[in-house]
Amino acid sequence: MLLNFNYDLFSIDENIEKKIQTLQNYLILFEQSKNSNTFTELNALMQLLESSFIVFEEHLVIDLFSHCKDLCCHLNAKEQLTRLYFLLAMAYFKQNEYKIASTHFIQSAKIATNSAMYDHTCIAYCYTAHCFLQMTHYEKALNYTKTALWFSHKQQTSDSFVLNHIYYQFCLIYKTLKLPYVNYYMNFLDEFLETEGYEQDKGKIYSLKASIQADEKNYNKEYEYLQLALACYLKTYNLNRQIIILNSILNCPASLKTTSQQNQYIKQLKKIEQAFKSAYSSFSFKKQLLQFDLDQTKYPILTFDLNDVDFQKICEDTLADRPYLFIVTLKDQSKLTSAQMIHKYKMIEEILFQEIDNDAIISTFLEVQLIFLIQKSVTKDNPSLLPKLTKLIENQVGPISYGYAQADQDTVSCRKLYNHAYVNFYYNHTN
Amino acid sequence: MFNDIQSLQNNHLPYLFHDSSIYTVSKIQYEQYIHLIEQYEALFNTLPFSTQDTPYLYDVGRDLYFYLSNKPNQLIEHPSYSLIYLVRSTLLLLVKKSEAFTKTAKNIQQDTELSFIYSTMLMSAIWEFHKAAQKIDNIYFEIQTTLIFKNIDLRTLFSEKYVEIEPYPKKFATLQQKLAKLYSNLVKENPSFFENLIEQANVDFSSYLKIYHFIPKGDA
Repeated sequence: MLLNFNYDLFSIDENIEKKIQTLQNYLILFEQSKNSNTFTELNALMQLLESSFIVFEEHLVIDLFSHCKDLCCHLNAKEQLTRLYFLLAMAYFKQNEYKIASTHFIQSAKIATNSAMYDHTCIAYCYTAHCFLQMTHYEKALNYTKTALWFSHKQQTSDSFVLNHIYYQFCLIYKTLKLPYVNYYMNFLDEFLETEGYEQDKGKIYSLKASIQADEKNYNKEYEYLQLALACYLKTYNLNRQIIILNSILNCPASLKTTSQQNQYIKQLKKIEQAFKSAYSSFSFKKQLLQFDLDQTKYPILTFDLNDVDFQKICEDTLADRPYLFIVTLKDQSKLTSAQMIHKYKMIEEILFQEIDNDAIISTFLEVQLIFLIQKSVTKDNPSLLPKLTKLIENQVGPISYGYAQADQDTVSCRKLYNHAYVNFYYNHTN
Repeated sequence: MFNDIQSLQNNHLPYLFHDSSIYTVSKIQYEQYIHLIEQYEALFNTLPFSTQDTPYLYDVGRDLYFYLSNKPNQLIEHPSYSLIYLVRSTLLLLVKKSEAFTKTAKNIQQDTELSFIYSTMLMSAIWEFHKAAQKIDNIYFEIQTTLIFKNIDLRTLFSEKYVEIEPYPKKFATLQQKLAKLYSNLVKENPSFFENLIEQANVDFSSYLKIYHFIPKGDA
């Protein structure tokens, strides 16, 4: 049985803007469904979580996992529970948390087996193998792949999509181990390349082929395969993969490649990088997301009780390699409309981007607040960023009230971080 | 076969008591079994969740491993454990009597890894068998509610200390007898059903080995 699960999490024929819009709609649907029955709520929530990967909002899965799991349990919805664990695993997988991801992939596989969703078991096993490969546990990676193949035979799975996942995994492991068995499994993948659709998977295969050719120093062949991979990924709107492939193309020393082609790819890369940046800092969605937290923001106790001196200290702290969230209250809130505020304070963000030249800052407006989420790479490289930011805003609007929080071991999402920052802000503002 | 989806949340293996096998084997052999579970984690994880709720299934799996990995003249059954673990010993006996099992057991020749793989396949077969038995008589629910089999060492029920309170754990013994009888009768009434399940385990075993030991022709 092959379920209608989308394993690549990047469906075709839609652009990013449309995806963001879709995600917002799902968010609204989910909010509205809370007033209806649990079945409708679960469906809306699953749609939201499925879509969250498209615009880098997969933290939503981690955030809403517990609630979604409760709904699945309440409704005895095994299929959704299987999928939920898979999405959770994918969220961790994308954060390079392979150990945690593997645990959830296994959990997803086990629930799938119990629910006779054998195709899903095999695919989840392939992803588990991939996690072990990333952790350099080669024997386990091979074991999971072999078991996936055995299990697909046992359950008489003949679906080419499932088998493609398994053979691809074999190729990847044997290539990593530098064992001469890659071509044997590549023959199966060549057959898969003849099928219609599955652009994401085809892109992966061509990319692997290119990498094999690169190892053998056949750069012209590598170039050809990279071009094919790019053609596939361009159909999927997987911007991240497109950028990776384009960078490989630009760095490929193929004699076939002309200067005009090289220039063309440089232009294409710039264009895609811009689209990636815009998708990554999709303010509109963040705004929607944070509205969810309004009822949770008034914590009875102060989690982070920091004064200005402590604040400075944190900024300079070399251990501060976790995300910050920074909230600023705007004095001219009543005079300006939301659109005007965005226009006015957009400048701050532009300056930040220019100065830092890093995409790891997300800014948004939540009613009268200007919010910055600063990711760890920025804080690590720029320990004085937060005081600089404060100064920058004060130059723009005069004295401000602000709140901030730094993620700790227990902070798993932007939402929790926001709550902490808000508490800090609340006390600074009122006392 | 599960009624409660909550059971799917449990990702841990059922607790296996050390030194509780029907066979008297060394501590090293117990540890070796744990090591093999880790080594063949992928295979072991293909056992569905509901196997964890099947009484004694994991213990029987381990007993079978010890049986397969030791030479017959080295195997000594613990004298009182056959009585304490009546269901387990009955299941073991039924499996050992199977022609399909004897054939494969002979070929394994006490190889530890093969013994482990085959015992895992047999666990799957026993689980299927238990599901069929449960359909005839819903003893499963009674077992689950009357006796907490998980994480409780049944040997304590027969210990001297316990005997002072209750001379003989009658209710427990009756339930065990009932389940053991149910298994035996099912095989007696329909021997081919049980035999087919073991045959299927044999097929799975050989196909697993074929894939596991398969070395493709290299391009070198």
